[in-house]
Amino acid sequence: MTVQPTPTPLPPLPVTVISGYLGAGKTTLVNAMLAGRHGLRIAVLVNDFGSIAIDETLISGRDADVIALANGCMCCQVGGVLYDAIDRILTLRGRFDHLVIETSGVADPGKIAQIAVAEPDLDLSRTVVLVDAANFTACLRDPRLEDTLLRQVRAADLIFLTRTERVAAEALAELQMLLAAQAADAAMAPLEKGWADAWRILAAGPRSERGPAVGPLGFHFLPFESWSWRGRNPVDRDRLIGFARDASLHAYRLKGRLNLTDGGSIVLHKVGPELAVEETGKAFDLSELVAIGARPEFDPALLNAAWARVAGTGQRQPARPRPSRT
Amino acid sequence: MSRTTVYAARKIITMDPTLPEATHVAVRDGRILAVGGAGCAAPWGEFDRDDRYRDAVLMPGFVEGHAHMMAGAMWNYTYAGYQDRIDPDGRRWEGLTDIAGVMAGLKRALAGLPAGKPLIAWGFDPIFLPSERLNRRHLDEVATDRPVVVLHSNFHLMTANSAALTVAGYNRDTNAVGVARFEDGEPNGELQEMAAMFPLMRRLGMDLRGMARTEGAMRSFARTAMRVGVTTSTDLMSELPDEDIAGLTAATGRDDFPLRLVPALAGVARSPEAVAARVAELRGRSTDKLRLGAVKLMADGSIQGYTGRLKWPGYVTGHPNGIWNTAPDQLREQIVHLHREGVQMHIHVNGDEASEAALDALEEAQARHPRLDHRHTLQHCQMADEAQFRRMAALGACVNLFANHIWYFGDQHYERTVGPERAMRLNACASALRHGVPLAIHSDAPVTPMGPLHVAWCAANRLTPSGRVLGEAQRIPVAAALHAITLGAAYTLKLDGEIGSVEVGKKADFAVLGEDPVSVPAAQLRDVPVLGTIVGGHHFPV
Repeated sequence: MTVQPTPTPLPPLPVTVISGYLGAGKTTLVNAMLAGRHGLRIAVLVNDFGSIAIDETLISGRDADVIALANGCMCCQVGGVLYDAIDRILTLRGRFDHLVIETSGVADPGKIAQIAVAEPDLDLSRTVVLVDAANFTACLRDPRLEDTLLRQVRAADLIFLTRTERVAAEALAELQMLLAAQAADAAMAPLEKGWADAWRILAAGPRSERGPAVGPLGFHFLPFESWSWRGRNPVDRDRLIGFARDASLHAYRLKGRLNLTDGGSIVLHKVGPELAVEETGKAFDLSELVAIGARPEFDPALLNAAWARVAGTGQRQPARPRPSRT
Repeated sequence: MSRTTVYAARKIITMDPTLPEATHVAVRDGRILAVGGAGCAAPWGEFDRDDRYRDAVLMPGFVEGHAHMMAGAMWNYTYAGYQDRIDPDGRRWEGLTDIAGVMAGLKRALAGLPAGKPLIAWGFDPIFLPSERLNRRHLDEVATDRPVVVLHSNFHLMTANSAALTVAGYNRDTNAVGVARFEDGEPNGELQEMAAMFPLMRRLGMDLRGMARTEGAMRSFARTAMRVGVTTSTDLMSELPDEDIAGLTAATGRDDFPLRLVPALAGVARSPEAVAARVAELRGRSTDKLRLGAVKLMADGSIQGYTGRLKWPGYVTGHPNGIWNTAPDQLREQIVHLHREGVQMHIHVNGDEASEAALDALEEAQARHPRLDHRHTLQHCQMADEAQFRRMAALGACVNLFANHIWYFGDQHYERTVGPERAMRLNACASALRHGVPLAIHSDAPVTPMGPLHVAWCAANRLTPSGRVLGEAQRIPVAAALHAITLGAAYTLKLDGEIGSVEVGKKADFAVLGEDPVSVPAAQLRDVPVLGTIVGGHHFPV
């Protein structure tokens, strides 16, 4: 065994990681990418061929672990160890424009994305997490799954919501809020009919050159933005209520649990104009507050400024919160 | 007509309740013809007498119910562990007990390498070297003209010298999370987790799994097993493509191959239908010394790596809960389907949330497709409590407990993973026996060194290196521990009709011991010398 020279005149191969729990639509997305008329030669690593449904007329060759397509794409079944499969793809580097890794339903996409960060011959493009809008919150209630699912969402820089047509608008907004609180920087888009164009995410370019704007990809991205705060210091009740009622902040939804300077502890909910406050009678280890709203009216910078007047040191702040406009 | 040979021994421990002890055993055609006294072969005509084991104690060949072929391949590299370890050729590698020792050991190994060839070492464990953490600068003192890489014993970390970091393209601009740094921002040489190790491993050709598939690795593995008295071992998770089956069949088919092998097909990341279909193909290809047809499933990770799935209250350090290797729903689907198809499953479950998920799945499988004597085995199953053992008994499951962990990681579990109470019942052998759950115990080599007498010693004494007794109530008698490394383990492989005890008609597989393991104090069980093995009547002296 000797050190193998690694003459790689080619630029690093861009990598997109596709993750999400069982049934979230990963395979549908992969099928759409493989069959798309995009001119990209995509190598896709999947766990199991079983669910790959490709029009037979597009297939130019196949063996136990590989399906080659006439459009230059290739689908490989990982079977054993992901690293071995990636190694095989890298030996064929010149034949592909992009590597897509479909993870298992419980994998941590953040860890898999690290392969592309660490390996000089790879370049991480995106970590896409699919969320089944109809089932996600039910899955979260399973204590065996909750942390695994949240870990996936936190690793995302793009979240596709699937089966949104089965979910009421109210519940969808709730879900978006929940997701935004976990992955504040991730773009979010519903993917009801957009499967055929989903390959466009591969054209996003390397992560380093990508800004937050993902609109040009042809998706209708959800305009929701989130803002959150966590801290140990209790806050003033009146100022907090004033903040929550402040319509100029355009918070569509607000949710939190907080310890107050008057000794109380409350859970606070706001949906639209409705504000509900519930006394818990028991202090929290940590106070937290999350808000979500639609851009551009909802502006986290404005919330930061308003919140500084509620929870800041107090000396630099006006004695009273701004009068509420509601 | 085949010849009959009668072997005399100081004592034969048979594991057969009808005749627990004997002094002579007659062997014909690689099988046991008769057991008893000097005249036991008399009814069978002429025989030769062989007294080479006159002063030895014979036991049924030990059965390693959970190991990996990679244990053989690792010896292609230099050993750099804390504890002494014996290589497949019988050479004792002294433990390297401080950083200076590690560096000196690496320099010695370097002297035997051709110029330019990377130096790769394995088995290193920083837990035992609490002083300074091994880093790039130490390894640069070993060599600067070539890569030097030290794999840690958990296989999740490695430390590399500067030349190796250059090969991987790592420098202060590298963003990868697993590339650890000095305070000045330069990589310190430690690479954490596979993502960060992979670029270097690729470039140095460190294909551990590929190495394990070579005939050389198979032979190293078999010799490693022979030196500790093992005559049958699992390779508990293998992809088993056709070319590997051919290689395994050829290697194990040779008379001088000292091991029966039981590889389990990887059942993860494939549909249960595909797994069942492959098992049906493999079953027909078993031979005398190669047994195919079992499947391995993986539920979670490991406790010491904080990747095992724990029930409340979780890790005592506050680490987040571990990872699922297979989603509970998917595990249930696999288990129910494979159970219906009559496929025996070895299910990796370390944490108690994982063992619970496997039991839930087995319960559903049994409700939908009742089946007796399936012998599905929960592997490791380190944290199972009384309630889970009761469920195992009710569902007919076997358990293969990782008793070696008590010694190798017991203090760590007590202090830094699960805390005192759950550490005391870790690998609860006595509970398994109390509830009537068929019990095996194992090494998971190369995670801990293969050595059934050591594993049995752990189960009987439950001592840790700091001198703690980790749950006195979970100690089991030496006789029960010896059963667990012979007939008990054979039972989990559905081979108890052929191996695991010295009985007429069974394979002539023996462990040859220098002392009587039931006469020495339990505390000295691990010191009983192994003189060699007999496999199918062929002799393999250490």
